[in-house]
Amino acid sequence: MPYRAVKITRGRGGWGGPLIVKPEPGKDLIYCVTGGGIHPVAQRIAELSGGRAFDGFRSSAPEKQIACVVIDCGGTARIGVYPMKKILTIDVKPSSPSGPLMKFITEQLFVSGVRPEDVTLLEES
Amino acid sequence: MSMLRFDHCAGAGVTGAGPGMGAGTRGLLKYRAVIQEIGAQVPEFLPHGILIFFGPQAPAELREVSLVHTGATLQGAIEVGDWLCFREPPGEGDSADRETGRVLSYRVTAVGEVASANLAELGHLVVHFDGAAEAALPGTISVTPALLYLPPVGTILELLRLEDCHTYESGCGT
Repeated sequence: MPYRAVKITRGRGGWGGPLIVKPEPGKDLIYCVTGGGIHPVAQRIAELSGGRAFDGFRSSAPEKQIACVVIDCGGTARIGVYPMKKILTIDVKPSSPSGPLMKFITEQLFVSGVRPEDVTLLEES
Repeated sequence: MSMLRFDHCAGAGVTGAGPGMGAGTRGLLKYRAVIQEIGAQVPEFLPHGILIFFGPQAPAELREVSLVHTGATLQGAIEVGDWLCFREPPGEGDSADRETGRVLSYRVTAVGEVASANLAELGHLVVHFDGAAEAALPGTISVTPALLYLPPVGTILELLRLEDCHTYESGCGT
């Protein structure tokens, strides 16, 4: 399956973005660290982009294979750690930058409040 | 799931910074896990009065900022008035504490709306040692007093409710 670029826009009450995610060979993981399995937003990104949905709590993968991360962070840790590593970060909760790591959280790296319908193929949007 | 009841601290003979409590006071132990690993970036959060906990399944990049523990089953939602206790292994603290290990206790002053779910699901808890009356974020809890020491590896992390106490001046400890 060829990889395609998807556009991810902030949802209601959300912050940041829009982000463009396009998986590449060797960097195609849609890395889900929400707990409770693959979140519907991660599933949607994977289906549209051709990336591979991956549960970060079940197995581990090198950071360089990550195309983007889906989080459900209401706090301090996940919201900052991935942007700090320059990894595109999609928060399904409508969080705004906060905490000690907030300086790393930028509109180019982070988008929040995202629902499945906020993920679209880039050509469509 | 049945609530776990126990005689908290009875006969334990522990000492420490926690305020006193008579042996045999009954409580509800909501969570108990052992800190196994302290991420390299954890000290960067200390000036902010924040500790981040994750269970054993946390991916590597989150372990860097977290105190990783053994995980446990949460026996009841975290509530204001609960106690967060760190039972340090022997050898820490002042000479009086070295034999049994220091016990530090903090009272929960605010609980974010997803904090209990995060802890139950992922062993994930973000603690702000700021004594705030409202949680800063949905995933955080606030406790008092301020954090003075980073709990070392081997520390037992506990969340408990002391039901027989008429005041919240009693905490962990003997």
